[in-house]
Amino acid sequence: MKKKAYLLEVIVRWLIALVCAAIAIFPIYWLFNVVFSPSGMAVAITPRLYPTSFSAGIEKIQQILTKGPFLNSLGVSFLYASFQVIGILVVTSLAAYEFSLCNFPGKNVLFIIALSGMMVPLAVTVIPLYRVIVALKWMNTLQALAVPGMASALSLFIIKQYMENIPVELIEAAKVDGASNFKTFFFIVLPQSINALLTVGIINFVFAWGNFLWPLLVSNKPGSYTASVLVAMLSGTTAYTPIDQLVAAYLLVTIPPVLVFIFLQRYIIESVTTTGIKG
Amino acid sequence: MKSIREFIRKYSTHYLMLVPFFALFAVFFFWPIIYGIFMSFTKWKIGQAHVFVGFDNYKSVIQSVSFTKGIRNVLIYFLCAIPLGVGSALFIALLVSKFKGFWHQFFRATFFLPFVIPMFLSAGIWRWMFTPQFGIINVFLSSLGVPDVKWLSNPTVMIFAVLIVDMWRALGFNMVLFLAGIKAISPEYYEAARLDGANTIQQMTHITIPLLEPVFFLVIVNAFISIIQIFDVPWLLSRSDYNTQGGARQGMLFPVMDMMGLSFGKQRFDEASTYAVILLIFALLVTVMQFAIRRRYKKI
Repeated sequence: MKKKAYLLEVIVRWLIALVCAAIAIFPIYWLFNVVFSPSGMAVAITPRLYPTSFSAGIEKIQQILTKGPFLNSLGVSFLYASFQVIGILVVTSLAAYEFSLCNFPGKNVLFIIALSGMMVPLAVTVIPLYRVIVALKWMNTLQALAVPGMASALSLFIIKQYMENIPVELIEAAKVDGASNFKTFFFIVLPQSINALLTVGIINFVFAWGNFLWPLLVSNKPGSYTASVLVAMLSGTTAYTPIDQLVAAYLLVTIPPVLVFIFLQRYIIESVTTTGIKG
Repeated sequence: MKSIREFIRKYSTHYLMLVPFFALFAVFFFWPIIYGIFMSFTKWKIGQAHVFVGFDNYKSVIQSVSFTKGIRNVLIYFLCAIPLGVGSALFIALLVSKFKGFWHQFFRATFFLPFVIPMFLSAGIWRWMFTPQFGIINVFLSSLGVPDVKWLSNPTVMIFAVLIVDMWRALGFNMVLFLAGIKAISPEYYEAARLDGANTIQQMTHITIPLLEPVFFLVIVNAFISIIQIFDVPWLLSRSDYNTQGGARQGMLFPVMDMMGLSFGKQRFDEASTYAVILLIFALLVTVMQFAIRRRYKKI
């Protein structure tokens, strides 16, 4: 009797889990399905729930890549995300080292000031920040996209948490051996922090790739559009883009973050649980 | 004099390594906030001088129809998003925690995947699915006998379209937080409860949920902050641009969208900055509350 109840519980649990997972994954699957089906499947009175034409999908992807500015915008997004990630890693790892393993007057106050960046949403600073970019004459440049986000408080926090686990004796030993402060950081601490750097690099790449609000403001000329801005524009009312090409564009923009997630999900999920903060 | 030299010799290298971070912080974070607060008290047009006007901008922003509309939408959204978001994330986390090994990781990854899909894409995909008559959601609903829902043009329903997309996205994130909380609960509690004859539901209400209180708190604070700055999804679902925002009868209008319209549509950067300051005050209030409640937790 008890065994039967247990079996029933397992079956119900599996059923619920599978149904919920199917719902969660459905929109992504649906995109895939629409791309790899003959035209006109995105909105149809009798939709098919499985992809039917591989060649139709390839053709759509070819069209969007060869016609128009889409390929260029993928390049802009990629450069923007990479540049920003490199900047964040350099700037925040230096600061994280100081805050976690060194002592100097004013350390706690400076750290609290640095963390205040985590409490203020980007939306609050975006208008005056835009005026700063205009004043610097940076509009429609890569640095306008990438540089303002480099002093990332969240990244500083993650790396600092990690570096705190490095034994201070290691640092002291290096200093006794005559290594300068920077050398200690570069040759002793950095190699020990690869995991934290990877985590920060991955999440910031995904954030930058998906960022829409900031690129919308500072990249408003053809040629400097990021994929997010271009795709939003192509799906807008004023643009005439065949929906076939649009779905292919969507799919291509989805692929990088999904690949990153599939192969490196450990780092992403770890960063969520250590900080608990949504980017 | 000697002590200053000593101080520089000892600490200058430390401060030097902080310079890159704080230089960027000052130019791209601190200065914009100060400048924004200053601008909110002045009347200003591009190419003209700032004229100090006191609280005039605050008055005209707060009295504007769209401000009321935006705040109203935020409140409705908040009232629905908190119970639905927290409830669904907790439910999924409890479900996933029952699986072990490979299937645990499989389900965790599946539910988390929507979070890494860029928001502007989620909005685009869901917009097709919300299409009247031919969109997959309405096709599905009509097969159940539900009449066509105008997800994107009926002002009373529109906000729920935003809610659905956002919940779909945030579910995995909150689930991971709950999972970490569930994992941290010692199995001994459950054993003791079982010995005392507590059933599954009693274990849930007397052990799991009370011990997850800090996670509930964290998830709710996150929801507060993300609702204040919600932008991408409603902007794209309603096909907003700098001249009109929020779709039919502004059913999807949220404060940041209104702010964007003010600054780039009406060229009123002064009023937009005022908006930003109001949002900043909201964000700070949430943070202060967060610290106050955290302190209370530590006492207990």
